[in-house]
Amino acid sequence: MITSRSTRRAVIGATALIALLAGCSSGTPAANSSPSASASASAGGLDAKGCITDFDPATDYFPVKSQITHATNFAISYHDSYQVLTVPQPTQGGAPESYVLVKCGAPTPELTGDLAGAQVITTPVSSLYSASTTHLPFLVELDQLDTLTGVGTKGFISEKQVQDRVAEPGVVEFSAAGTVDAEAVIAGQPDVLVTAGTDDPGYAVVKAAGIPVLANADWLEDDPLGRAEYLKYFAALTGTEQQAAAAFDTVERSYQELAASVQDADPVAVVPGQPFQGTWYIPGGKSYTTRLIQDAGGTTAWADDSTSGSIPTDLETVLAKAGTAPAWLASTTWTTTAQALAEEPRLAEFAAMKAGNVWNAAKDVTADGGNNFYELGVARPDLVLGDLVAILHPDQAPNHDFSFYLRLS
Amino acid sequence: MRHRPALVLGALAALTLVSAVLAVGVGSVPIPPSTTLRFFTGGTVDPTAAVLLQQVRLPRAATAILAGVGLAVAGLLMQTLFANPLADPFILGVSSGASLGVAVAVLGGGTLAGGFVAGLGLTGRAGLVTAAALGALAVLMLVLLLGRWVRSVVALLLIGVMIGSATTALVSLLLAFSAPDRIQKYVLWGLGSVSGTTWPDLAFLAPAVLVGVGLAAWIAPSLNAMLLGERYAASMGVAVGRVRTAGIVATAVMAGAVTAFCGPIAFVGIAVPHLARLALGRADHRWLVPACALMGAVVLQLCSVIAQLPGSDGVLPLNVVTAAIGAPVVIAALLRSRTLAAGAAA
Repeated sequence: MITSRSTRRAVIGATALIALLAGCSSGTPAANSSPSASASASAGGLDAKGCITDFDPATDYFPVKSQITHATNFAISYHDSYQVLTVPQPTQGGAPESYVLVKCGAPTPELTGDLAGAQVITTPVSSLYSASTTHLPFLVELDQLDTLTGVGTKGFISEKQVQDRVAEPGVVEFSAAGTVDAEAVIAGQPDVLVTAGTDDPGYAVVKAAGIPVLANADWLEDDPLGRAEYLKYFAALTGTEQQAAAAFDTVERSYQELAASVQDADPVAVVPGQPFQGTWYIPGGKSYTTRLIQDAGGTTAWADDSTSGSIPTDLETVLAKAGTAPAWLASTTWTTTAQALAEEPRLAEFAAMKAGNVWNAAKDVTADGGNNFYELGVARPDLVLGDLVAILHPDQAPNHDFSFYLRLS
Repeated sequence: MRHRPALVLGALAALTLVSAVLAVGVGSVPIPPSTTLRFFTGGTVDPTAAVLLQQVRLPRAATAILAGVGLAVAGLLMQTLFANPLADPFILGVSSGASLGVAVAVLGGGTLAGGFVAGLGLTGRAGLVTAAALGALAVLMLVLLLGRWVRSVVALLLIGVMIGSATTALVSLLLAFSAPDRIQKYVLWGLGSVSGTTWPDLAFLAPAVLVGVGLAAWIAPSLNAMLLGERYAASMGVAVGRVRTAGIVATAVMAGAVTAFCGPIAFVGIAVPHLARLALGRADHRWLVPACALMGAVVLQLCSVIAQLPGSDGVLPLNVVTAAIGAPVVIAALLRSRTLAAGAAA
């Protein structure tokens, strides 16, 4: 499911570069590329659910430990019978939070210092409420979809498997109107609620009722592989570190191979985004989007900018700086050039529009406006990069099967 | 001081020209004045500069002029008709109606009303403008219909405010159930912009504003009598009902058209009439209508130039500039004005 033939072909000559990349991202590639297995946990005795039956304080109950190599907005530390999950920014600019994930069957540790007052969650969880669609592909990948018992808004979900799951009776929609329905969450009594990295007045009520609320601000990661690494966040909650490590390694390798395959090509200039009512949001030079474009052998006129968010600018600026760029990567609702020109006729002045080389991440969209680009695309940056490489360097991937992008017709 | 109004109008006309030159000559992309001059004198210039001047800056400057004129004159009409210094062009629900139209078009893609707009074959910008105009028209009609049963302007004013609030609540309801990328579109629309209009748009906007200003000029002498109250005006032989209708129609046409194309532009409609009264030193509508028109054009063009943040890639939302720069200017002008003490600022 994860490998792609064209990718492999393109990559044969670039093995040395990959090794170099892997070496750059971490000091000890061998230790990071696979989970480190330490002493066996068999001594303690575990039941079918993975809970400790006969607690032994001397046993390490986490024989498989996740290594976080790209994500910077969460960290996991291991303490024999419990893990500490730390989120430096639960919301943008928020104060750091730590959560104590105690293996079921183990006593709750005494929490002092930084951990005093931390929320305690018993793992593996068997019911999880998720406020963001970006979490869902991870649960699918880890084969833990049956733990999903609540989602923010059902209509925004793109993946068929997850749509089927949330259509089952008993799966709660707790934020259909944009704000969290605290009563619905408390009535559902999930083991944990995972946020979308934003705050909501309802969360305080949910926490006060004794339901742990864990922050997940994956959207603050600028590295596409960092966002994909939140697979390990969910592995920590569901006790699936082994599967997570293997799956993430495959995504990482696939991404890095693709990036290496176009690293030496001349960067292709890209028009990023699209205007609305005269304002045009451009991804900053340090943003997730720009990073993807650069890794795909592309560049934007704003690549040297130091913003990690987006910059509001106007048609005039973009036309002057990217009017001659040969390719255009939009993220809106367009599927035809006629729609684009109906929204803003002056877009016809762009070289990419004249050449019919305008692409939009709208191939896989639900009737309610859910876009799999923002769902699966977060968990699988290698698929996004595959699309981008095929757009910017068509010769590299002649028969590419696009996941998220379509060319405006 | 007998010549003061004429002098003020002359100065405002000159300022309008200066601000127009600025609006065309200055933008986020530096274009040398020599290039701009060559373009307007028919010389050949770099194709990118030509596109920027012809397709981006000229329509933007023209839109700023038209929107400024329309909103300022409409604001003047509303303040006089309702005898209320806080009245603005949107007091009768025009902008909340337009917001509802846009919210339905942008947010409620699957709803009946959204389908109606799409069914007219209007998508993209044309659909948005149509939705805004239809929304504004619907709410305005409702206010005026209810207004037929009330005699006093105060009741009409309150009905407008109440219906505006109810409409805003409907928009909030739509927002609550919408995906974030659609909400962003709605929010962007609400920030106001004169950069989104193109030449074909101006073919609708310009006649609407001209008709509105024409009506305002026509009723200007009667408005002077209205300043002393509707009963006094009636006793002076003014056809109060007809003047009120003409004023409301003029406001609806101007504010509706401007809001449809530019979104709800704040501040200009409420503040410029006050500034114009301070500049003229009198409340004679025969002078006030042209003074408001010119001052509106100057103010909105200058705000639009500042919003481009000349020399940088970034832009500011137009409403941020109009309010953040405009409000202190008006307060300062009011505080320095001697008329404040006399309570004649209204």
